[in-house]
Amino acid sequence: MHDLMIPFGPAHPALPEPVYLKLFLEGEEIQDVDFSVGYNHKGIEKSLEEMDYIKSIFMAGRVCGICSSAHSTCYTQTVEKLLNIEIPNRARLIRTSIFELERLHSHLLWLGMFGHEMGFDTLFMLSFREREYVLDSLELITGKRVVHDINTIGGVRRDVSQETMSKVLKNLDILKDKVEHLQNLVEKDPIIKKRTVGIGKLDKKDVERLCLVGPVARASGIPYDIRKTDRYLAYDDLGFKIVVENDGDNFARTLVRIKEMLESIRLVKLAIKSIKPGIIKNKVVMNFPVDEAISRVEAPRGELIYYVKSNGSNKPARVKIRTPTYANILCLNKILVGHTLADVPVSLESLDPCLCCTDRLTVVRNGKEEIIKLEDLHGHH
Amino acid sequence: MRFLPTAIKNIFKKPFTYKYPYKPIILPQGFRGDFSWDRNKCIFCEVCERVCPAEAINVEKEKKNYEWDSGKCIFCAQCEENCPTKAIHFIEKMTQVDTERKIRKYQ
Amino acid sequence: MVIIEVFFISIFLSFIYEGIIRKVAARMQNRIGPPIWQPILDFIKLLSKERFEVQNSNFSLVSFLSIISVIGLITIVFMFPFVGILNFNWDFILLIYLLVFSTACFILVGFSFPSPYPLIGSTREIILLLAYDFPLMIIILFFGINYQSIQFIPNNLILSFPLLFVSFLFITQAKVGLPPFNISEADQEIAASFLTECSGFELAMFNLAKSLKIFVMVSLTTIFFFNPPNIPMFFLTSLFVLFIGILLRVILARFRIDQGFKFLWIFLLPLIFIDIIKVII
Repeated sequence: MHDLMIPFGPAHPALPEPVYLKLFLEGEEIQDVDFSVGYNHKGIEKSLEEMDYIKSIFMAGRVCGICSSAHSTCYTQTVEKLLNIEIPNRARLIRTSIFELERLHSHLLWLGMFGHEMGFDTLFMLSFREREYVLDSLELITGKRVVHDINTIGGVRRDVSQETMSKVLKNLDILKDKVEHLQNLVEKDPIIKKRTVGIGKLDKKDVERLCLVGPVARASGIPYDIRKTDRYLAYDDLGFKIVVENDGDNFARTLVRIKEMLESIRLVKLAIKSIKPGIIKNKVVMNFPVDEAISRVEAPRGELIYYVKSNGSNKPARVKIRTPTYANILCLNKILVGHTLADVPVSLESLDPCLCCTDRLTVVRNGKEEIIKLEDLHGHH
Repeated sequence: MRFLPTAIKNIFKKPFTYKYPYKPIILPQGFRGDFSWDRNKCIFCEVCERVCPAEAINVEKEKKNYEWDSGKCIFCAQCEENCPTKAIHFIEKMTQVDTERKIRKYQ
Repeated sequence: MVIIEVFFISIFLSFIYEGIIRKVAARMQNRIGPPIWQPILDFIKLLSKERFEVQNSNFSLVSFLSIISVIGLITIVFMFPFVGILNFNWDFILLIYLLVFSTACFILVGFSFPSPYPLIGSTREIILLLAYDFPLMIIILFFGINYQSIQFIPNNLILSFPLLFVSFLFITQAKVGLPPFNISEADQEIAASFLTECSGFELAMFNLAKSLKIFVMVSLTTIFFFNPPNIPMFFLTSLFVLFIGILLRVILARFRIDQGFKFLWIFLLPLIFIDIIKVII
């Protein structure tokens, strides 16, 4: 039985994005958790049906700010699967390097937020300083720091010169030393270990039952990575190792993400060094068959699935996006109950929630939930 | 505890902050900054208006008017890529901050 | 009158100490911090903001407590050796009372609002008060038995009691609310604890009380363990003690409440007893 209900509300100093958690406390121990998402619903799936295929790539890149290239690459891959075309080798390697640079950027930002939730502001300032090297490299290649807009159907839009490639390689060499220094700082600090080891434990059986994805699953001993399963872009040629830990608590999730950062640096260096001269874009004839296609990538937070259905015109008929946080947020009940209020921001942040990608529409009429069919929503078609 | 030597060394180093706008910034080539349109090269074919995903360009062919809305533009550079005479260019300069919404009208 | 000068000088110095903490901590994190006089500007800005009276709260008590906590802390400044306005033989007991009095004001504020965040902040502050006050009282009573008054403490006691100095540093961090012991003001979990519903004049006074606590505790550390002969040496040793406090703030994360309690009792009490037993035997 609980005696206090705290609204860890939509607006809170700990949360970067809005989610509504109801925590039922007794003393300082949590007995029960209830949550609701959907404060960031933007209606992107509907507005993607109003634009033609080339314009909709720009819209798909703006679903999320941090994982922007992941969404854009996945959508372009799906549309290329519909048209059944291949992209040239040089474009594949450029797409891979931008994808991995964005994974570096996202994990460094996560490390800063994780330190901030524990009260360790110094780790926050340090991680955001190292992030500047990654953003400078991205600005040299694509022209913008956060939302890149580099994909198009059939290849990439911009070429990279020899001078840019040498500057990016120099930045990555500096960054490797700094990330190893951060790894040393986090792995051996006694207070960080006291606050994260043994808290928020997830066994292998829980992960399989709840279908969790991404670094959360890899920290509990399940070696599941789409880069190895689907072998998209250039990962097959570059050779790639999966990072796995076995404990399943907050500390293991931290270690997985830091080791993934080092692996990403190695992949980007290898990809840039193996770029050979060639074209960056294939010519594409836009004849869309009446068909549907599905494709998935490994975004920084987990598995991202796109489904596109076309009806022969130059606009998509239906696009469905399944983001990784939508799958991961179901485990909140398991990792929060039984621990104290002081562990709530730390555990929530160790899942790496990106709530602006997660949207869900539930209609509640007379106190009961309803599911509305697609034909009722498209009333004017 | 492991951060102690770095903390003491950092007191004597220069701070990492770059004092923009008191110090001028050099932007790399290819940076998508401000919008610029060359009147002499434009042939008013209206391709840029059709390709823009955000509907930020407005062309009137008879009166030879050209408008660009900086509030709607998403700086994707589709117009620069598709212009047949290369009249549009995104220059390496940051856009300015203003106090009211304005649509830039070129005469 | 000398009383008014001490009043204004201690308020000004407490703001400067807080500004020094923010500036030096920023330099250690490799960035430019705010200017040193920033807390004075914050105080002046807060005085001009609107005061919201929250419904169902005991608002007149909150206003009264905000002024009383500041006055209680400034009374301690009058006991320092070279200010010398209050010198009598039993001032150590008055010192313990006034140090606990300011924390008790904060705890009462937390219980005056009908919101869950100040409630949890106050309960955490009660537990933390129990944790650090026990070692603090042992140290102060030890000084009280050996030297009759603050005016008679000899110079450079740090050389004879180094372990007491280390424990006093950690107790200062806990009392003042700097990391690793800023448990009751954890704004990632409980959104500004007992200050969540205050605004305007009350918030300015409580911020001033928090800065005054830093000034008082750092000065007390200097007087107990160094007791320098003249005022410039006093400020230099105060800045040295403040620097050690800033180092601890920058390199350590925050404890949970049960871990903090265990640290303060299980780790510090043996250190204190080792040094005390040396004198008794």
